[in-house]
Amino acid sequence: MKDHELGSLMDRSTRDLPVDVEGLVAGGSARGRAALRRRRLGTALAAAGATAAVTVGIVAAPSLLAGGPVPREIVEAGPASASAGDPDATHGAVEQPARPDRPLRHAAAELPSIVMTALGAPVTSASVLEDAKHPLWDEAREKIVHFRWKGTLTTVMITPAHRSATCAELAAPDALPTLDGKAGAELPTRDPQECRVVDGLQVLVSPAYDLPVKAQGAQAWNHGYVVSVTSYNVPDGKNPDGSEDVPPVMDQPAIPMDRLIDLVTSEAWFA
Amino acid sequence: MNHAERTAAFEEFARARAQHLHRSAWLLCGNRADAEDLVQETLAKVYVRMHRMLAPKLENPAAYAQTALTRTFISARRRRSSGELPYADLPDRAVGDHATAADLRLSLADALAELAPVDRAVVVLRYLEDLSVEEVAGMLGLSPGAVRNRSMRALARMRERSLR
Repeated sequence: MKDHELGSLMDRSTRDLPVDVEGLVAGGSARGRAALRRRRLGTALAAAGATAAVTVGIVAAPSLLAGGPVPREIVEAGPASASAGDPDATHGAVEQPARPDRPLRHAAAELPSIVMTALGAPVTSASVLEDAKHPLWDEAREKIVHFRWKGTLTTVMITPAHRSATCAELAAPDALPTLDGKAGAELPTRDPQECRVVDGLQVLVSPAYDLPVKAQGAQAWNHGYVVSVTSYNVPDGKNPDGSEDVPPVMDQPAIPMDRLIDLVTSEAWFA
Repeated sequence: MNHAERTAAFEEFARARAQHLHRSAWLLCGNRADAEDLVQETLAKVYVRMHRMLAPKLENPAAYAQTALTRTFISARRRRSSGELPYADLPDRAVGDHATAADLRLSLADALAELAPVDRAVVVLRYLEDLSVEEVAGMLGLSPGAVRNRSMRALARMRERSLR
């Protein structure tokens, strides 16, 4: 095989590959919007949105109300938490599959009702968003939904873990290379994120930072997925005119950190 | 350029470039599902870059996208456990008039699958994208000499395989 033959072979063999251009563009746009929101709000979590669902949360609620995650065998006793970039950040964590090992239980639009039920709030108090800024993303192994609760924004995202950086990498964003040669450190200043082990799961805890808009979140690596929930103290990351000086509706994000951790480590998301 | 104009520019670029990116992605990943995933991740990075408020205008979005695609592929492979196989991906099947091209694709995918991810990226950039050694070196953060060595090694391995 000569050099020019390989080029020709590659060209011929891929020229008529079936491709869903619109699907790729839509997927790229949705992920791009989510990533942009994450950068702008300085959380390590993401975004996107949908319509309200009421009933399924009741079905999913017992495991959350009964005390959160299903107990797991802890491979090795370890510290409750570890700092960013610490090799011990995964100490005590149960080894997780690289890719999803089971389906997700609910449609994206049903996820807010799970959160509401776990918080003991009426499921009807969550108002799911679905517009150009908050597109619903509802695929078999990827769900993204935005909703409003108490006038603030909440985002739930479940994505395959193989697409994400690791917990330790996200906790130490300086270690993540970017295309511009800059590290993730260009995110706004805030308290450092922390990679903990909670019930055998790696959990990235992203505290609220001290800007006019506050967001805090948690994400857990479980069953080959990353489950993340982000809570804000504003109705949205930007005003309708695109400006970013959104007036907060409360001092702190609506969902406390301990409840966020309970949520992301729950088994209620999985079939 | 406001947000709506940036989004329109992104969508125009993405529609024009998606098929080309998909071809590279397919050769890198060897199956449709992973290739589509890689293209969407790549387009997301282009979206973010095009929407960053203080960033200078993207002079060559096609080159940026190609670099993003290749680096995203290599990073993802580094994170995965080595030798892992997708558990639910079926190979693209030959259908009707496309049988010959599909057979060719599968043979090529098999040959590329035996290469290390970086070597695979070098081969795709050099021979599908027709980039120079220097351009590939710049994209992958390698020296030109390393690109030449990897390219020769990869071709030799593919030739060896085609003789089996």
